[in-house]
Amino acid sequence: MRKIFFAVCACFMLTIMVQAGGYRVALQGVRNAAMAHTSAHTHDASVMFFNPAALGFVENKLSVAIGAFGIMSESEYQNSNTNYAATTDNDLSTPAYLAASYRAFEDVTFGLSVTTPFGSSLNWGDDWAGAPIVQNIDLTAIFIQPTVAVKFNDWFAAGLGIIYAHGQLELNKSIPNVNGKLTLMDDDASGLGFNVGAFFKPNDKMNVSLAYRSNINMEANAGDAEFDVSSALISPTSPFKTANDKFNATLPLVSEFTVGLSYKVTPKLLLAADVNFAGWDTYRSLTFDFEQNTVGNDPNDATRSITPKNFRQSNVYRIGGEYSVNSNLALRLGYYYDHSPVRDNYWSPETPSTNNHAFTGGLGYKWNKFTFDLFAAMAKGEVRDINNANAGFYGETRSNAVYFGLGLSYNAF
Amino acid sequence: MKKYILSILTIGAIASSCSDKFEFDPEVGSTTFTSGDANFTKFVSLGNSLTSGYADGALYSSAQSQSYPMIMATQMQLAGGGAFKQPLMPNDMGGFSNLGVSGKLTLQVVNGSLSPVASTAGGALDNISSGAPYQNLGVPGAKAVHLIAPGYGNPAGILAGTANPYFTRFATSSTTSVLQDAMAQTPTFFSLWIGNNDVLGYATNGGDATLAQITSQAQFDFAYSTLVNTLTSGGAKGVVANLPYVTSIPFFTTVPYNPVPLDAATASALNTQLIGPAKQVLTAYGQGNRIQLLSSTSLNPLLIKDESLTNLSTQITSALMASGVPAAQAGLVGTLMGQARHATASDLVLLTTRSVIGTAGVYPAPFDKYGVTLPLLDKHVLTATEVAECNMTVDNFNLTISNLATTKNLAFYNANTDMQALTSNSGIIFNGNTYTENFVTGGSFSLDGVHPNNRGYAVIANGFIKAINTKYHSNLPMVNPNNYMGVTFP
Repeated sequence: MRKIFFAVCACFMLTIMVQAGGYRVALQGVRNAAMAHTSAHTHDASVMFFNPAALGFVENKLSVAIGAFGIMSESEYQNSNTNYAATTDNDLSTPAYLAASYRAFEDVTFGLSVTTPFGSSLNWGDDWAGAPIVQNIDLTAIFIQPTVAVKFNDWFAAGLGIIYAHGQLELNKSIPNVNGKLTLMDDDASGLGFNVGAFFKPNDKMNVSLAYRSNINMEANAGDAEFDVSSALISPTSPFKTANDKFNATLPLVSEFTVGLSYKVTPKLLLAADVNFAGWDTYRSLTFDFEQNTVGNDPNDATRSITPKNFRQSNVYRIGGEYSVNSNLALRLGYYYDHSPVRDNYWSPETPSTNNHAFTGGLGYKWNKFTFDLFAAMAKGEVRDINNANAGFYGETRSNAVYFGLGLSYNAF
Repeated sequence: MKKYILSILTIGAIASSCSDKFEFDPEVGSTTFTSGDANFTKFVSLGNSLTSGYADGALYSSAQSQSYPMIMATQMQLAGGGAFKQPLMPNDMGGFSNLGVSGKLTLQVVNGSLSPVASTAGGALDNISSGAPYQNLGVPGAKAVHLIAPGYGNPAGILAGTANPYFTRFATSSTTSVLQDAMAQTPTFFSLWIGNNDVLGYATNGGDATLAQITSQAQFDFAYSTLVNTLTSGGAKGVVANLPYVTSIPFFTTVPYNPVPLDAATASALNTQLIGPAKQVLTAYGQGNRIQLLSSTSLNPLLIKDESLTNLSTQITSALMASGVPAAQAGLVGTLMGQARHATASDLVLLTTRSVIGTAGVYPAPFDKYGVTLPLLDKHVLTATEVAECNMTVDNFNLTISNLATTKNLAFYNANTDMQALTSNSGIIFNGNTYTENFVTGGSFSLDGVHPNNRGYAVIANGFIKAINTKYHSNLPMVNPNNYMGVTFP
């Protein structure tokens, strides 16, 4: 059995990869991830990201969980009109999480989780066709979520988490008209939000999870905007007043409403399913407001550069399962379909989103109070058309990704 | 156990059943290019400076190597196109030292601001006719009639003005014409873009008819139909392009009509001394709106001479004398202000006029500031009337071109539309890069403000290619304009 699983995992790893649309990175628990990242689970402290109320049903008084992932992703672009193709050369990105919970009173559990649920790490190269839009981007948001859950009775708990988000951004793009380059950098963006949920256990076989995580506007204030252009161009009468400008920008880390269900079909087999309703429709446009340089496209304010995004609300459908081979070893599988929130006519290579199909798998091994979890997944993005007249960007794209993860949890008392 | 193997197999089956969703069709790199109903074996390109790859006020080798015909020929080579040879200049500066033709403009910092500065010619006029035939037959300065003129490449005719030094470089004989040199190659495909200079010369001279004239419709029609009839006589297929409005280029749109700042003291003094009294007289003759009192709080319009206005010199002079102004001064004001008016947004100030504004003419103070107290001359400004004249001529010429394209069943490229987009306020965007009308930083025009740079030429090449594909069912790929040479900054 174990051999087969390793073989499957190895296959996932070997497959040439690409990935993942949007900048939501759904990897906040290794066990959940192996079951298609479903939410109606209560195994350890990491569940509070999925639903703060789930903490109320975590069995142990003290629970600590840590985990780390690797993402190898690749996006491909081609334009048959110009007989041109490009592929990203992305660095391995490594989201991680840390969660701890403590049942301070009989029915009240406190917790803290640190996660990286949004991010993007892409490198299209300095000279590729879309360089004036993006050459490379590195975006990370860390969520710090103090949480409290109250278990009202054997079948119902509610929970609330307050989220402080801290973000970092670096984006490079070319400015062909002056043979220059723009670097946008901010390592101190921040925002606030909340996470609220209800968790039901109608019977000892079934878990029902309802959770809503609010939108968080990640605000970059006075970030660095470095204009690498000929010094002869820097003048009060030129659009480039200074080489070292500042910028403000706001990026929405969108809300997510999740309905999850898990059911113990047999004592050994657990099945779980989720639907996420992601509020991407709040992402209407991205504005970079420069302090001095009049390099924008807003007819009313030349320092403002506005890119329409017009994302649509999108859903993710998840189904997964866990089979307990014995009291120590569990095997997991899952599949999810992630519907792209990006429309063809607004598609941009800084968010190379596609409709993704992902297959997940993993295993868990329990030893005393410790549990080790392994996870691997492969996501394949459907080919899609790009028809962005606003950016003069056309063609087709597809993507692949391979994920793997390692988690450790400690459930005491 | 079996259960799991089965479910893995099921997942595999799902994955492979929708695998067509995951593949590009066709994948770039596996595309077959076809010439369709056309044959690109021998492609010749006829035209003027735009065809030759002229940029930055000169013909020089690196810009030539990215001319729009060269870009087209390179794409045609994917679909059976033959070799394409261009009469490259022997250096990258351009110009002819022995003819007083200077080299290309380069950007330099002059008095703290970026300005295009002409460089020294790279060498004397050369001759490379031994390397003929050449397939790029674009000759800078050529009008439509020049392409059919025998002897246009005769070195002996340069000084007399009957020959063009650029054509003498590669003409196959002293008696040949550009058209003859094209036909001698029995082309299978041609491009023709000619006629711009038939209007442009008049426009870049500010509509001063003593310096350059617009070609008559009859002469243009004759030259153009001769060209098309001859080029198609051997069964060649081809593409023709119409003419852009001359007025959409940065040469005419960069200098505003109202660039004159004045401090309060100067504005008030000039109003008392000159503008006020003159306006009073003009008002008496119902022409008070020709000029307006100067302001110190907003920028003032340029003072220009408009020869279409009734000359009120005598009236101004006598009125001023009657109010006690000495005869000499009254005479001078009358002479200068008789056909003067302030410019409006409809008048186009030439790029070359920028260096004239504020300089002195031959008159003493206060009449020593061109555009402020001394009216700019006819050659400095293309007035609204002249603009309309140019654009109407272009419309008429374009009718000839599109009619012939239809009659001869040729591909037709509406270059006028693309050039207007390239020079519009909002610009035109390729792969996230916006090209606008802005001189120097707009991205698509070279430093002379008249000719595109190689990125602009790539946009034009794409327009030609699209027209060819549409007409002849070929599938030549287009190019990414951002990949070509733009303006170089110091």
